[in-house]
Amino acid sequence: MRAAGRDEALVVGAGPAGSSAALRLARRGISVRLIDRARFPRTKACGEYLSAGTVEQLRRLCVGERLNAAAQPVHGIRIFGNGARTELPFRRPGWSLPRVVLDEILVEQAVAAGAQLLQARVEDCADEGSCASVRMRTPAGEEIVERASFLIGADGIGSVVARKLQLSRPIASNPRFALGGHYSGLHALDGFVEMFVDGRTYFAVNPLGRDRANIMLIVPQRELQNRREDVDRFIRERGELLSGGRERFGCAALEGKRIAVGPLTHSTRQLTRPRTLLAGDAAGFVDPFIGQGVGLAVTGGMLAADAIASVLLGEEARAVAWERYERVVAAELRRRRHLATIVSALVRIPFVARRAAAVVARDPSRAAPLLDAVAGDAPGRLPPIHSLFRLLA
Amino acid sequence: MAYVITEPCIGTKDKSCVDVCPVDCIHGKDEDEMLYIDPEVCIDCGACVSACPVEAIFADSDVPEKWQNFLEINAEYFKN
Repeated sequence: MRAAGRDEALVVGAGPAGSSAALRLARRGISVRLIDRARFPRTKACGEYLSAGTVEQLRRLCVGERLNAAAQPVHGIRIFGNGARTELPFRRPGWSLPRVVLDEILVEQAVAAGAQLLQARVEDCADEGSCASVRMRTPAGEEIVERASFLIGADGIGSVVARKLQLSRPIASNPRFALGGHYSGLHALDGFVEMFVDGRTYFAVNPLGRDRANIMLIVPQRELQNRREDVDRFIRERGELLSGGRERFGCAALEGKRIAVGPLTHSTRQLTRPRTLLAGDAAGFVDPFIGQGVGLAVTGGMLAADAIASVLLGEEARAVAWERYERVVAAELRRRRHLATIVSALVRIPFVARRAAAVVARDPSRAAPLLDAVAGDAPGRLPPIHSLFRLLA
Repeated sequence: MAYVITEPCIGTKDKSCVDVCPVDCIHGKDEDEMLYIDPEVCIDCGACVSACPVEAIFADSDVPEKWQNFLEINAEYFKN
């Protein structure tokens, strides 16, 4: 039965997962409130790279054309580290797109479709069996409580919804943090993302134009702790060290404010409660190196919306819809984590990295199965194991 | 930009935030009534926000009006 007088769904977090979910629910005629503590547009720490597969998904949500204008094509990726350099052109270009633009357009579309946007910080939530409730604080400091038939927790790593419903797992020791922002005054950007790797630390340069780039330094907590007195200098020096000199990044200047985010880890015991689904990073975080975050968020948001819609519209029982959601999203997470582990071994283990770089330099086609899986050109599939051995022999 | 600890911390002092802070900018002695964030060192990552069990931590731009005085209280703690 559809409840009257209150929203059918609350979505906490208006990033790509939450906005996609709210957009999809609203388009199916379901009353939905989209809650975020930020006022949009807002900047967000992120690599700002979207794979060809993610771009296609956004097109399916019918928001691709509006984003097109603000996006730059990404033609491939170069990985440096362990004395090796590997260039991997994409079969189809991805996008670099500032999150401030992506998120604002997705929120706008959700609102245009009928979602109600509410600026508030969620402080507690409960899954009460027959409904879900959220306690939040408005920017004026006022406390309000909202109830709905269903709740989607799309509030990212450190998700309040996951934590309050006892769905989060504890954080591993020495997690990584991301530091960076948009820089201008760079040289020789050519539409390739460049990643400079040193163990668990890496420096990523994602061009946003001819002389502008999104630059992120991903670094373990202990390394950051040692350089806490001057973080901006640390980013610059570590970046120069990793990228082998100052000629390209030496005159880079930070535009706007430096951003930081972390700990870059989040995993959950399960993805559902009777009235609640987790989506996006709140459901589980994948190593940012392989650029799966936004794609996984949009997929998860749409699947969560579909599960809720099918229950509200009486198409299937909740247990069936929830079981499928849990299974499909867990499988997506597992597959992408496996991919991350494979890629991590290939770029971080020194002799493996040098070997793979030599093989790919001789025969670039050997990297294709792995690259297709990472770029979303072969969704749902892990590269066959023999193709991975061919990277090393 | 920095994060700020506000009233709900008084009497709570759970210290989960201290463990997750990547730059060790959260301090408070045994005799202090709450914990404080050093705005000069905070890198604005927000890790402490989700660690706090009583939702006492806000970005400086989002501190509720009634707790605005805690901006000063946090900064003051680190002077001298």
